[in-house]
Amino acid sequence: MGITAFSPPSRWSAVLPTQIRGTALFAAIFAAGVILIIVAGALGAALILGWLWSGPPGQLQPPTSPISQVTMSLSPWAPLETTLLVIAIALPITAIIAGGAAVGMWDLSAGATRIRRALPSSLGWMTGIPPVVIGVVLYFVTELDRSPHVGALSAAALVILNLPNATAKFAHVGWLVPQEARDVSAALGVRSPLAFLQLVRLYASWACAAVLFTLAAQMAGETAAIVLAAASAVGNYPLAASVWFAALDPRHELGQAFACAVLIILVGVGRTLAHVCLRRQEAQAWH
Amino acid sequence: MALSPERSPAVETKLEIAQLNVWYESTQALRNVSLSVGASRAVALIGPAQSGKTTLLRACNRLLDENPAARISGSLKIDGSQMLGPAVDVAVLRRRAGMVFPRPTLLPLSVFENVAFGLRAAGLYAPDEIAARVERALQRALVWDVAKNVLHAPAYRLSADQQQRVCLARVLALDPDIILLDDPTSTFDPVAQREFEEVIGLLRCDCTLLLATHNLQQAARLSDTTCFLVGGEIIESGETQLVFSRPTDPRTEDFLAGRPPRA
Repeated sequence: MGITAFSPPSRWSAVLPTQIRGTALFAAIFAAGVILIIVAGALGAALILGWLWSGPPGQLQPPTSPISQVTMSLSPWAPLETTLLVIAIALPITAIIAGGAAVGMWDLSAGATRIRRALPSSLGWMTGIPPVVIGVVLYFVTELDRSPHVGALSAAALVILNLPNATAKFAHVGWLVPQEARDVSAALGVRSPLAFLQLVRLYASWACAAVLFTLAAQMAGETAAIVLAAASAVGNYPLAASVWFAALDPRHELGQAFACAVLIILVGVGRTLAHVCLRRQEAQAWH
Repeated sequence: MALSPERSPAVETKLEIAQLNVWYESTQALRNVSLSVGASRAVALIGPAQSGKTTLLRACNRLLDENPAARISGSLKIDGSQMLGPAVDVAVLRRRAGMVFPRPTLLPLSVFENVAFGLRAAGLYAPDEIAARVERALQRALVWDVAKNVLHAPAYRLSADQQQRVCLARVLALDPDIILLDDPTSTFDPVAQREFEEVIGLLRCDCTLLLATHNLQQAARLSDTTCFLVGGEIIESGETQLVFSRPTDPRTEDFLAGRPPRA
């Protein structure tokens, strides 16, 4: 008994089970990512509207002595600690979800489906979200909540908004594995997620590390400015006003400059490590 | 009908292909291929380039699933069980029908780890058992004498024919019923070819072999049955001696004589 009668199959007549599984896995993860991004966008829009309804910060009268209302830590290390904390939360979550989606894409690359064809353009569109959008969303997340939860909220926003980018990067890592190795792995009956992990470990471990360092640097860059501003937030005023007050405060200047320098170095170190890893990857591929 | 690819002993016909058709996009690569292979028999697939030999091998262990452009219809049974159905565990099928590729494709691991790769993926983690099966596989591939001294050295340090034998050992470690050999000696010199053929000759005792080759002498030496393919169709098949000595189709005769096909 064959799977179809003898006749040229239609477009969908012989879609094989492994492809269907891969498609389903990826579609679920991809749909979840799309929904999360829509939710984040809606949240950002709601925050903007709420801010407009309550009036822009310019309408608030600056206090006569804003320095007396400084409530948060003035330590120059505080922004660094907060940034690292946010990255520590956001990076593993992003890596795990994006890695899972990349495995789905790896599986999917063996399937002739419409999703596979639609994938590059949709992922490209999603990765096209510029960092400024991420910064704006983070800004409003910080505006929404000045409590200690702000770190977790920032981390959540970072995870959501970096997912497409991270997924694309991990998928690229998967494509570094030579086709011959994929064939050998498949012919030995290695199941797809395991094959992805094994072959990426063998052929693209440095590229994987480069992706992680790039993500960390990117997240630090996206978070740092906001966290830096939040560290010098003033009283109950909106963040923009707080930054303005803080900028006028001579006591903050040195601390802020130091914190800026440390965060810039942090981003630079992440990028440099990523670059070093990519060089190692190139050497490994050449070898 | 059971769709599980589990082993069922005492079946005479190991592999049965009926009305198999394969398309790559709109190009038909196999046309109505039907073939029956008995247990512990060796079948040689010969034919010009692009005749469908590799496609037929890849259909047997469903490696075509990995090709997004490929579509397949027809019937492919191993030990009487349908292998093209949706309920078949493809990973288990591929362990039963192992494949050796034209070029030695080793993973960037040691000799030992290369052979153990498939075993670990199959869920075998006991170190003693893995070591025993690796040794046995390397012995069956007649490469143990060389490999035992460099077992934990990178496998790419071996010569090309030794690498190919390690690739064969990697397949043998999984104890397959069927071995699909896709022109495995195409990059070898004649001496290395003969040595590799010795290994294949020994495997004929306990495995069913499908050998796609451009080397007609090799096909004649190693196979019990020969199939001649042109344009994705089996033009002629039969006992190797008969096909080579008294081909019935003029196209087979031309191919064996090295003449261009008649118009």
